[in-house]
Amino acid sequence: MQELHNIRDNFNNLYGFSVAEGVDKKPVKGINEDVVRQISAIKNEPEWMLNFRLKAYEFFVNKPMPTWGADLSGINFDEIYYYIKPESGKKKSWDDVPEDIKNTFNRLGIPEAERKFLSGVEAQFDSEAVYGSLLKEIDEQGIIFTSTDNALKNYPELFKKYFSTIVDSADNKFSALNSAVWSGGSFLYVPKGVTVKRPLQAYFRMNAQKMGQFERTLIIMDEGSQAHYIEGCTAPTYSDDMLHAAVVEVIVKKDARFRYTTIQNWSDNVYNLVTKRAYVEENGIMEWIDGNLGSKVNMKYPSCVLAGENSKGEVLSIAYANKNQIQDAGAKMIHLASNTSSKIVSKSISANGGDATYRGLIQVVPTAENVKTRVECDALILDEKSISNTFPVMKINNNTAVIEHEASAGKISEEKMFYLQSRGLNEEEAMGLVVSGFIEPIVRELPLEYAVELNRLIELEMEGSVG
Amino acid sequence: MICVLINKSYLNLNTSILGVNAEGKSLLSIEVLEDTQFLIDLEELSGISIDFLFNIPKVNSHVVGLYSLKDKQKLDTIIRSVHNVSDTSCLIDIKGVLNDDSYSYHSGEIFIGKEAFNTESYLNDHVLLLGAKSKTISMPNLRIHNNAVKASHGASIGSLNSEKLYYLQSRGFNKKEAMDILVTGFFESTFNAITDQNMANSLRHKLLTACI
Amino acid sequence: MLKIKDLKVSIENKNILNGIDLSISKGDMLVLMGQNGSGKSTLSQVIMGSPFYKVDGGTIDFNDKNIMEMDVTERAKEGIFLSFQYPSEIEGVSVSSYLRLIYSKKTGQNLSPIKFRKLVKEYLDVLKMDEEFLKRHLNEGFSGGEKKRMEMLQMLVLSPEFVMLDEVDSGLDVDALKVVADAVNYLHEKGVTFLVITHYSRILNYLKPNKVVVMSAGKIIKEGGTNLVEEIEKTGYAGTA
Repeated sequence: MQELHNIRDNFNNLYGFSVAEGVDKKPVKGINEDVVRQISAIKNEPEWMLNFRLKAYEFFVNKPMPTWGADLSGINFDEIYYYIKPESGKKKSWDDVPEDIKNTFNRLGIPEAERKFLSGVEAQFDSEAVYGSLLKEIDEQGIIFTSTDNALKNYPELFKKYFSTIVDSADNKFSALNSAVWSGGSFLYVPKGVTVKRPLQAYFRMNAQKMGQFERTLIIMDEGSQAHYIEGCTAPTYSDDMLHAAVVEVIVKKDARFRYTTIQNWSDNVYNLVTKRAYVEENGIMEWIDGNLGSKVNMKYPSCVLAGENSKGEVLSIAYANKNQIQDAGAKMIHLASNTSSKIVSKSISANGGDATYRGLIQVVPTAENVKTRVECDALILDEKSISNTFPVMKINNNTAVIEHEASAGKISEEKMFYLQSRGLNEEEAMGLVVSGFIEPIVRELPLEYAVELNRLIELEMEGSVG
Repeated sequence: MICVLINKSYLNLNTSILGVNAEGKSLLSIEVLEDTQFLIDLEELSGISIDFLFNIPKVNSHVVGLYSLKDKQKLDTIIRSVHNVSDTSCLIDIKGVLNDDSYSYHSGEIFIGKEAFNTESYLNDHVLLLGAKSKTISMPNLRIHNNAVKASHGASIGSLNSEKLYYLQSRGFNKKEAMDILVTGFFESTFNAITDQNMANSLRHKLLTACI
Repeated sequence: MLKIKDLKVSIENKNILNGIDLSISKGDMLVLMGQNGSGKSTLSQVIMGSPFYKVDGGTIDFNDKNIMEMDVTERAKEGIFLSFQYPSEIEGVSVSSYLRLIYSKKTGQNLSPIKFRKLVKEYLDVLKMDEEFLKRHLNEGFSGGEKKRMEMLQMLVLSPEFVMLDEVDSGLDVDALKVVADAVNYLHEKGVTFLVITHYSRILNYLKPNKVVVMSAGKIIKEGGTNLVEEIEKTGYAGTA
């Protein structure tokens, strides 16, 4: 326990960041150049970062909204607080939380639900012991696992070498916005040949800062290293921020292997728009495991740029689109080198009028020989009100490529329902069983606690979806 | 099933159903009134968007589009099956071989509307990239607004199986002959499904000699 | 136990059952034979409550209760079990968790995985099935014979009162057949009532039925004892017309 105490004391030095004195900290709505400058000033950033932000802000202003995808017209950029938020006069209490959210927590059997839900950060104080020993372990191995803000301060060369090399500010309107106002997010560097045995969880950083709207994550896996990073929470996570525009950049160097698992379940007022991309070098392996639940609109297309020979990319994606939700998710695999392979498995469920869409891209350049790709998209539409769309694109410019794509959509077959009901399950139970089997290939890749929670959550989501 | 050939002559005889779609491309809207097999001459209709409209229930259709390109030929196909009413079915089979420097663009879509209960709709899109510089873009879409349906699509892009080529060559065929045999096999199951034997044979002749 | 009166069933406007009258007493083992298309399988499906068929007339009483108004789940709870001719594949659902679930639904008991495993092990041994089965996904990739054994395993786990076997013997080799018959006899001796639908008489060599019924074109055309089976063997179904 003594050890832990020390960690808490050192917390601000290790994981916080020093705030500059005398800078105006008044909350401001809307975005303009001054707001961007204010953010950089408060964070006491080096000049190059300020210039980076300003340039990105210009791109944001000039770039049009995307002409494809979900309807984003509900986003009012002028109504958003981009950094300093007004203190809510009244502290949020458990009593204010909507009844159905409270019920979900009770049913999921999640302890200390209140703290978890309200803090927005999965500050798992009950995991301190685990956290303490993990910190020691990663320190000894030379791993850097901290916040992006902190990394900019304490590891400037490493940071500058890789920051924004995978996702350009001008990539799309929301990566431009993120680049201008980013704050928070994880920075991970794993040295050559190091294998991180236990999954690194985002909440271990314990930044005590509200999970950001504009998180920027940067992960560098040096040659031969291996790690697994998990972020998110299956339980409904309340956010009073309407727009979340995050950017995740991952570099997987030669012979390295990395898995990035996200399960997010934002409250249904959120537009969650994320740009996630990995650059994979020779023999590298990148796996994205993506759980898309909640939000009002969720748009996410984890990508792998397979730049080195023999590199591999994989995306396993689940999406559950409930009433008034749009899950627009998918994957992109860009094959730049020979003998690369990729696999995309997408399972979506739409219920109660929800809209689940898969959007994918497989691209093979003329010089990439012997590329192999397999894509499987399955959509379960649980009732007549719900919708499923599949929009895959395959651009193949080398004739040695072998590309296979299969997609299907429909409801649970009546034969299956009859078979299971003849064993004593009622309609809801039978559907629940088929749905859990449907998502099993992806759930089995999750760490146990997440898998259990996810299964239970989907069961709950389905209640009331039947009849 | 009656068999209808959709080619330039068909267009000339049916100008009333030729219009323009939202993107400004020529659009041929064909109402499927009874069980029909449609053979599309994709080369003659390249660049023209074709919609198969199911507005009458209990109608089934099989749409076949086969092609073989060489040199610097380009092909642009946009085919949709649009199911607006219940109990219809559609199978779209597109198969092609690209030789030399040729290029094909396929956009296929299955649209199932809110009232289209018990629709069965399938889209198969298979391309053999034989030419060293051949290229293709494939975009098979599904838009499903009713769940009491069976809808799926399968697409594949690849070349000839090298083990099979080797096997045939070991039996005395030269590389060209071996490739021809495999290409014939690639198209054969679809030729066999064509109900009008005369049309099937003329397609066979056209495609397989095109490969030579 | 089961009383069927003048049952008429159709599918997509095609008549399949044209007035079936049948009585099965508790403890009976009734064999239902007939050519393909005679309606045998349909009868078992309709008793189970299949949504694919339309009942055009008649009644079905089980234990003096009218089950026509009950949906399939309720009929299962009453103790009716159907071994499907073509069992559905339920992807991604492990056999072990599935069996535990249906067991707990039936008995209201939530056995721990260890206790349940012990229970199931007994049944696996009876059916000469490997424990590996428990890890596989329900019927996914199962051979015909494995699917039938899986039906038998579910039968043992659910301990129903009335079992309908729809062509359980098709696709089974002699060894598998003996094993299935053992399981059936085991339950029959305990008082479970059976309706055995079959086309061949092979399985009847291992069972002890007390009644035989022959169907043709949706009607019962002959009833009798086991000697009826020998007759059919000798003269084929034509002889019974």
